Amino acid sequence: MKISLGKFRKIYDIAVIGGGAAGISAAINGKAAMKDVVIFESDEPLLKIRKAREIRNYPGFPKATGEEISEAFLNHIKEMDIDLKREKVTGIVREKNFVIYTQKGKAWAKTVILAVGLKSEETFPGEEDLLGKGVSYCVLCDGAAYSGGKVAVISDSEEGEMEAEALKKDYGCGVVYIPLYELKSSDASFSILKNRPLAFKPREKGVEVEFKDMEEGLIVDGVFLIKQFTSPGRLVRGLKMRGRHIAVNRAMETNIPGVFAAGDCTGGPFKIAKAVGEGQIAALGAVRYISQLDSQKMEVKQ
Amino acid sequence: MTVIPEEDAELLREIFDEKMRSDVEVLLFIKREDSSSDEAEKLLKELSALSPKISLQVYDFDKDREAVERYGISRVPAVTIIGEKDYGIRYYGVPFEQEFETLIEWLISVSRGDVDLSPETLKRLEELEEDKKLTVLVTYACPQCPEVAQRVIEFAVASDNISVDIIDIFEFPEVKKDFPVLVSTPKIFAGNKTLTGWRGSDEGALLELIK
Repeated sequence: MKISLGKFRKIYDIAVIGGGAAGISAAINGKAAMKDVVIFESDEPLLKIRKAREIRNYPGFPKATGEEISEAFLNHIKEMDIDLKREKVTGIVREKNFVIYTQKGKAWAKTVILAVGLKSEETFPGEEDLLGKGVSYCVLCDGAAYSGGKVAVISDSEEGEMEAEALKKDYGCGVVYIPLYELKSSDASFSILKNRPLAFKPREKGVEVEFKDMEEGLIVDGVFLIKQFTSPGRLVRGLKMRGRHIAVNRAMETNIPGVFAAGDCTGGPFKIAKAVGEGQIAALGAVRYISQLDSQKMEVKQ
Repeated sequence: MTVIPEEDAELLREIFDEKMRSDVEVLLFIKREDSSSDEAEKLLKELSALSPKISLQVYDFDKDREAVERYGISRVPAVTIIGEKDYGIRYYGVPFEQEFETLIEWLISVSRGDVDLSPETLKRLEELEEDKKLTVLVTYACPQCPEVAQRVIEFAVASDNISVDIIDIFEFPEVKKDFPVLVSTPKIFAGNKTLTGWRGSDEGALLELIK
């Protein structure tokens, strides 16, 4: 029997979501202002930059490889002792502080800087309508609700295999695993269906997963969708988007007080220097926001 | 071996000392030779020893029928916290892991008799005329559940018209059969209306639910 006291123990000043150039810059600038900073990144940090063969327009590095620049960035955050958590953020909710939900648990922060990059989230027809009514993104949250039942796990990465194992072992579920990627291991203890789902439909008891070239769909009690990327609009409730980009002003403030955004997720040009600059502006905004919070608290006490 | 490590116990002593105002009584309903009841009793005994403002009363579900009926207890283990009055909040299960934070916030809210809701929400709750019974389904491991449970507890503390059953469906899987839609947690039921996921911690969404 364990107890959790996280919310009473540790509240970060700034939570940076994303470990690309903008996120690293935001974290460095926040830390330089003596704030307690954490970066959440589920993938390798700076993965996109690392892949660049040659970068010729980043000041101070006339002819560097992506590997060299990313190493320099990573050394910088190591040097500053910035907390880097290799966890996927699944949702952010504003309470007295921001609650950052990850697949491993949660954390609390006074401000949030979204530096999540620009990717597309694949959504299936019927997914939004059935959310909480047979479709779930979180085994930890909803596994118990389907204990002993039949579930489908649809995943775009190997992470789904662990979740499928957990559903089988911890909750006694019959699992059909549907990989949206090239599955390497063949010794899985659950059944595997290599076919791309088309849509989800409600059934009297459960959900039907429809497939191309299959007359009858797969009927299960629940569907778990394990995605590597969640669009910012779904990540943060009420976040204003402008098309695929997060709507920000010149101070990198979003429409939600205390939430800032920087880098590719705010729009082009998709360059390192632009991302680094926006990361800095966002961090300075977050620092200013925290000062305002602190002075409000002082006024209340007086 | 203790359930609450000394480091956490020290933090809890500080929190209770700083935030609690009046005395509260924690009522625990158990059955003998029931492992969940044993766990709940051990946890709450340790917790109540951390502040002179917290007392613990343990009732046997089979023997103490008068108390069981007075508090409308339907299953065990069950917890309720009484402050200046009974706020109509019942927790069914063992409030540990993630739900331990719910228990701590609940103790503080009842002890203070006030909550941190917006003035608009408090006004709307004051205007509530009908009694509303909410049921919140959680699991102790669900990271999103405590924020929802805590918000609903705040509503119940703020309004005499709201009562709440919080049920851990991991402890009581059979309750899933009692509800008309597929279950995922956190989920709030108010009559035939439901609220799923994080939206349950949103004051506006909760007000809509009880309208």
